[in-house]
Amino acid sequence: MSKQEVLVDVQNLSRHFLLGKHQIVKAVDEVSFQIRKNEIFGLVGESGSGKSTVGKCLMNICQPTQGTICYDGVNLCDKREVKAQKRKLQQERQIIFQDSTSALNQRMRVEDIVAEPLRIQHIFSEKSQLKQFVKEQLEEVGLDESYLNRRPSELSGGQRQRIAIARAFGMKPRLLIADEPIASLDVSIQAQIIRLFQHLQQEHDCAILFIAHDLSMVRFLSDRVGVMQKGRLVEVGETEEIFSAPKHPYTKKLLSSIPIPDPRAVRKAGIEKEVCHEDVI
Amino acid sequence: MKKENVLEIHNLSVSFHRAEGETQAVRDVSLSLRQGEVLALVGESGCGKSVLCKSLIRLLPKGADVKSGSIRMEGKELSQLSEKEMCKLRGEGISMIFQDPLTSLNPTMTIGRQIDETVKLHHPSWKKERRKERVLELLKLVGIEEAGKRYDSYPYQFSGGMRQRCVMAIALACNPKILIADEPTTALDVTIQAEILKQLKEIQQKLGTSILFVTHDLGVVAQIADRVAVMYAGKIVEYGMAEEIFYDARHPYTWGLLHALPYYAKERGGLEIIPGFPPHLTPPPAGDAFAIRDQYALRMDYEQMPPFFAVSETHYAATWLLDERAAEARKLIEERKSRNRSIREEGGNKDKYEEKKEQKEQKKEQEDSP
Repeated sequence: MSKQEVLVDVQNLSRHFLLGKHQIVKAVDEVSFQIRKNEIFGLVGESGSGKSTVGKCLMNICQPTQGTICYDGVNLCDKREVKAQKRKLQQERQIIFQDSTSALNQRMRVEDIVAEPLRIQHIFSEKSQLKQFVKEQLEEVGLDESYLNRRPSELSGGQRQRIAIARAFGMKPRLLIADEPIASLDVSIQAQIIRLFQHLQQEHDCAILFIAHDLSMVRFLSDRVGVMQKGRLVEVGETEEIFSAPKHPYTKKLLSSIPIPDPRAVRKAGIEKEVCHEDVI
Repeated sequence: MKKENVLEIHNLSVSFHRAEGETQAVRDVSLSLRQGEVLALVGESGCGKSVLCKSLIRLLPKGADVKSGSIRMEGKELSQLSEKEMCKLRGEGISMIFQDPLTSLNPTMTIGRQIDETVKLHHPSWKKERRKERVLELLKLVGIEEAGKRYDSYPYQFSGGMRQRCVMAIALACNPKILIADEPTTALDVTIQAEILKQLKEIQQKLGTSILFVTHDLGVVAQIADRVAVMYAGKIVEYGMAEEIFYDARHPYTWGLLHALPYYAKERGGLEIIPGFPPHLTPPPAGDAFAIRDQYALRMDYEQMPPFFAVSETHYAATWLLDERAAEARKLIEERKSRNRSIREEGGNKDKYEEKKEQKEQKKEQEDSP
């Protein structure tokens, strides 16, 4: 396969936080990776490993301490450049958060929530067009017209996450950052949302940075994977490569602790482990 | 050899009384927990798992009450006990681990004192030294190293996994016969989760405690459970040995849950999803609550609540598909499944997204090679 065009190029990205005068937390430390156009890049790691901070840096929600992020020719670490390209950047980059309850304004109706970014960008000149588009967006995520006038508090977690997805995809983004979008959902709803992601990604041709700690979902969904540990990116590669032949010891540990939903395989693995253990002794 | 039942629940129903009407959170649940086994209770959020657990130790929130049914522990009817007797039972007979280890610990007390509190309450005659000995023993049991040093630490000095271990120590302080673990690993990272599960299994084998393990993660269930009960919309829909549930499930909801896992997605050629959302329980739907989301639903499922049909001596499922009269439907489903399987093996019936993806890749390759 030929090398695809790079959409985001992250070089030596660091983000440090000061805790008092002398203590520094290196939330992200010298991280370099690339996201290609139209690919799903999975970023995995334990909580506190700095995955979300990377995502936030890509959205300019937090400023990196060091390093460069080059998004489609724009250096996101340069404030002047970002300001000059603000409109384009804001439209093309979208983010979905883990906690849909706090990501949506409780006082707004679903219609207004989905329409708000469209209004800000002046994409539609007529109100009726806007309303029609919002309806279409909701349909795309599997919600019908009756949801237009509801408020987030009347919806379930899965439905709220759909609203957040509709809002993000409504802008036709080229880069979507999904920060643990399924972590707080139930198994059956998780599968629905993942299918929705696959579908929308195919339809809209956008790249997704999929941040998650659920490794089995990442394996299923993403094209390439990066593994983070304590702020450092310890391994990057094609999904199948990483999952079938992990090189870094941390990746191995992470993979071996995925709970396999298969009692027979578990028993087999347990026996094998015991045998290995005896060999060591 | 059939093991004794330590806990028997018969036709338990729990309701919340709210302004909109009565919400039936637990509907007619019968379950038994045997000596020294791990029974996993699986279900989505809002299906009544936690309410069921709380009713077992009589810690239901205000506004909820047990409408009917009985809970018997070793022949004793729990609803007949006075509050004082119940207090004694909590801790010695049944104890509970909650989901969030941070909120179940007191941030202003040292770990040692918090564990000691339980020991002291149940053994008022014990001297201070003896109690401390017991606390240190417990800390070692749950796998906390350098227990002596950790005795005087505060919860904020501990990581999430360590905190959950401390909560486990408190729950095990009086050697309970039954341990209810309500999603004990959900808030933890996978690596820590694996450690905690291993520890829990070890402790369970050492002490012979019976565990009711509540979770929504079927991966975790496979690691730890001997038996599994699947709950949906306040009712148990299927229960049986872990292997029977994983390899020979009979209820469409259990199928849906299993097929929604990415682990099985590869061999099935894509994630299968359960359409729709769980129903509201004010009032609950007539018939099988799952019917509206069920592609295999029969007309009967909408009208009448299915009883439990025995699949084997240990395996029961509540679906009309197992009725004699549904033999034909069952055959059709089998046929459809095997047909799908064979088509998938040939690679014909791919997931439509996969198909699209391939088309796109082909297109790209064509573009790349001028």
